Parts: sequence; structure tokens; C-alpha cells
Amino acid sequence: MDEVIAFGDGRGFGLLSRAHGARRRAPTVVLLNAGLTHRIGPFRIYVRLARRLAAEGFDVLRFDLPRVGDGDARPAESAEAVVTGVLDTLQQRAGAREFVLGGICSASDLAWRIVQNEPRVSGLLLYDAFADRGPWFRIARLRRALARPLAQWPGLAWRVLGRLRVQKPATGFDAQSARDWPEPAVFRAQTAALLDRGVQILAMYTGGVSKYLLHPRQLGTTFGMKRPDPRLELHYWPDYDHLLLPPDDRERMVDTVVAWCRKWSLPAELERAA
Amino acid sequence: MSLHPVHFGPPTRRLFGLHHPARGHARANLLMCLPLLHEHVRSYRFFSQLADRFADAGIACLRFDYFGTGDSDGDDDAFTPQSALADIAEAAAELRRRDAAAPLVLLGIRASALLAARAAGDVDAAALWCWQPEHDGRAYIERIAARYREELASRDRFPSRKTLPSAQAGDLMGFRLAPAFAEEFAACRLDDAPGNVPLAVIGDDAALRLAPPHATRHLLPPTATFWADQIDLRGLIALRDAESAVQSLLHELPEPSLRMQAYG
Repeated sequence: MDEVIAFGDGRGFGLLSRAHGARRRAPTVVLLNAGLTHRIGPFRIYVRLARRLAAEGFDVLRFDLPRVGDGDARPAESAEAVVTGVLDTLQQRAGAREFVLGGICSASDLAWRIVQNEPRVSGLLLYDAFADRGPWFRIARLRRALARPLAQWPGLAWRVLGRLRVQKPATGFDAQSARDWPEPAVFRAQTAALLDRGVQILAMYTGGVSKYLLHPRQLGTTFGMKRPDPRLELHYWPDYDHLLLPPDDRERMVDTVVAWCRKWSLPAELERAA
Repeated sequence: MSLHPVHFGPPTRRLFGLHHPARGHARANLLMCLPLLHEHVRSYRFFSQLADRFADAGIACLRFDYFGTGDSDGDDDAFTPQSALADIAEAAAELRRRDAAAPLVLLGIRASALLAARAAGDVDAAALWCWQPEHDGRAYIERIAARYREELASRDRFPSRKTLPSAQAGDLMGFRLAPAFAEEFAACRLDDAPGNVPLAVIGDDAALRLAPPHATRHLLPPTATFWADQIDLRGLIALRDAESAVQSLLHELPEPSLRMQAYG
């Protein structure tokens, strides 16, 4: 059952899907806006995820950041400060003590920035977040070009040569420069620090970010030495699009998040009762 | 907060809405029936801002999500045209519960205009405003089904997928709807609007040309209509581009005194 919770001196609100019955697990899950999409998420995936997690015993909050959905048009605070205020409200009014924070695309970027200085966050939910291009991206791109039919090769070669001859300004979406990401080495150091702090990380990547991720081995260079850490769970779904348009793909993503969240066990007395 | 989130309807079928109280005395109650499927998310902030704009002009607004859509209860496959008509009646009652005297205006947006046209008589609307309306349910279903197939076959969207996905029966624009949805919706037409309810059509040249003869017409520039049919949310719709249409709508608000006789 969703309930309305007000925050920010009454300027904002969120929808809190309450854990079913007495089966409440420790962290409250807070889903941040996927880009400009309001709190229901692309194709309503946040609603589906929140209600599935509530059935598993989690409280889950969905809300709108400033300038998104029903969010404040003239915010006095940064998005980071707004989220911290929301966590404070959940702590004071809903008894939350620890949090899983994250969401799709830019939600992952914001959650990543916040978790660096937010000890109450014990889990990080990343979806099409930062990935280091590195050499494996170039290898995968070359392999993809070579896999094209022979008839396309002359055109391809012409375009590549053209790019080498003339330094054209970049066109189209360049995720690496458009999104607020740390340098790869900084990201790896931050990953290590978070895992050492005990933060659980679930990172899912799709074929929708093929502009910067084309090969599963890129995840090794992205997360560095900590790649085998049991607190870090990685998935790469090259078949999926960024918004999870097909309903079956969305359901698999939701299943993955729900399974990951089961890391947080029920309180012992409820386990015994169950 | 200038908007109030509210759950309403029976406990087994709760709907979620946002009420924007009128600034000062309410000249009208405006019930916003939001766009469907992918267009719901695409236009969400614009219609939130539009509701604020109307509230500032003395019109109380309720935006709500049909059962099985948005923040309302229910899974996607619970959303059908028949249930949506019941939801419009529920939302109209919620608005009147707050202010029974102000006349009720139904604002049907895009494909929701077809639902609002059907509901207008049953909820005794004083006026029906149709924003960038679809005109024919069958043509709408056929168009978005083709659009969905095209999107599933898009190499831009699925650059690495070896076997492209296919739609299951009932799937439309990424939503797994009840298989009966398409058939039910195909029967809806803008012509279903009762002839005795004043009708306004707001949209581009093409929409205004298709408007029924008795409708008043309010032109939107391309910068306010471009978003229709878009799936990806890459930019916002500027409210200022709709201001001229908003001003002309405000001039044709129904008279409160007429409705007070019925609901006062």
C-alpha cells in the first residue's frame, strides 16, 4: 500500500510503498528520478519495483527531484541536499535507519555522489552508470565493424578516414562528457572505499549504452581490483535497451533487484515465524 | 506546496491524484485526464505546470492516474477503457466533493480525449476541452501498434541484440495491457462527445481541421505539440508556448451560476 509522505517543509512529497505486514527488512529503498522521467520511472518500472520490494518486506520511496515531474521549479538546494533531506525525513517519520539508494541512468550518478559522504547508505543500486571505455571498448567496436557485410566496408573505411583527416566537432550524445562522472581512477578508488565500508553494490548495464560499453571485460577495468568482491554484483545485458521497453526485459531487471535485496535478511524473530 | 497529493476511490481500487486548489474563489473545477501509455511520462511535467497555471487563474485542477497507470494502484493489465470511464466518474466526484458549486470542465489530453468524450455526458460536464486529441480509437491503436513494432525492430534502440524482441498479444508501447484493451479502445471516437456539451479543441492545424463543427478552436504552435508520440524523454515542453491557447480557453469558461443550480 502506497502512502504519501511530505518533506522539505511541505514543498515536496513522495510515495512510500510500505513493507507488507510485519515483515520489515532493515534498509529503506529510495529510488531517484531516471533523468527527466517522473517518479514512476520508464514504463512505470519504479512502481512495479517498489511494490515487489514492499511484498518482500522493504519500505520503498519514490519522489521527484527539483525540476522533474512534480518537483520544485525553483529549488533553493542542490539535488544532493534534497536527497539528504529526504533521508532525514524518512529517518524521523518512518523509522528508517539505513538506505539503499539509486535508480536508472542519472539516478545512479546522483546516488554515487551522495553515497561517498552518506554513511546511512548501505546499498547502491546502479543501472547504466559509469563504465570506463578503456581498450576493450575499442576492441569490441573494431570487432563489430569487421562483422559487417563486406559491401559496407568501403563506406566504413571512408568514414573512418574522413574522421582522421578532419577533426570534426562531436555530434550526437556523448555520455562520457554529458554525464557527471569521476575519472576512471577516482571511480575505482571510490568503489574500493565503498566496498571496504561494507556498502553492497548492484550494477546493471544494458546494450542501450553502447556508446560507452560494448564488452563485458570493460566492467573489469571499470571496477578494478575489487571486481571479485562478493559485495559487488555486476550484470551486463547487451540485448536490453536503456529504457527497458519490452515488458519481459523490465521484469528480469526487477527480478534481479529483488533477488539482490534479499541479501538484507529479515529480523531473526520474523525468520523463525516464517 | 501548491498541489496536494491525494488517494481516493474505494480501498480495493485506490486512485492517485494531485489537486491544485484555485487561487481565490474557484471559477471552475478542471479534471485533467492525462495522456496514455508512453505519452503519460513524456508530458507529465508540462501538465503539472499547466494545472498550476490554471489554478493561478482561479480554476481548481485535479490530475489523476487511471487504475493500473501511473501512481494509482493496479497492474498495467488492469487498465482498460471501461475501467477508465469509471475512474473519470470517481475523479469527478472527488473534485465536486471539494467544491460542488464550481462547474466541471473535463480536459481530455491526446488519447484520453476519446475517454473524456465518452464520459462527459455521464459526469454532467459543463464543458469538454480536448488537448491535441486523437479522433478515432481504431486509427490510434493501429498507429501505436505499428509504432511499437517499429521501435522493437530499431537497431538504434537494440544495437547489440541478435534476435530482436517481438510484442506479445496485449503489448502496446512497452506496456503489457489486457488483451481486450485494443479492441475496446478501437470503439472510441471523439464524435462520442455529447452534442449539448460545449467543446473546445486545442492543438495544431491538423487537429483543429478535424474538430467537430460545433467546437471552438485554440491553436498551439509546433513548439507545444512536438512531443506527441515520442517515447524518449529528451527535453521538456515549454509552458509559455501554450500561453496563448490557455488565455483563449480562460475566456470561454462556463458560467458558475448555471452549475450551481444543479449541484449547489
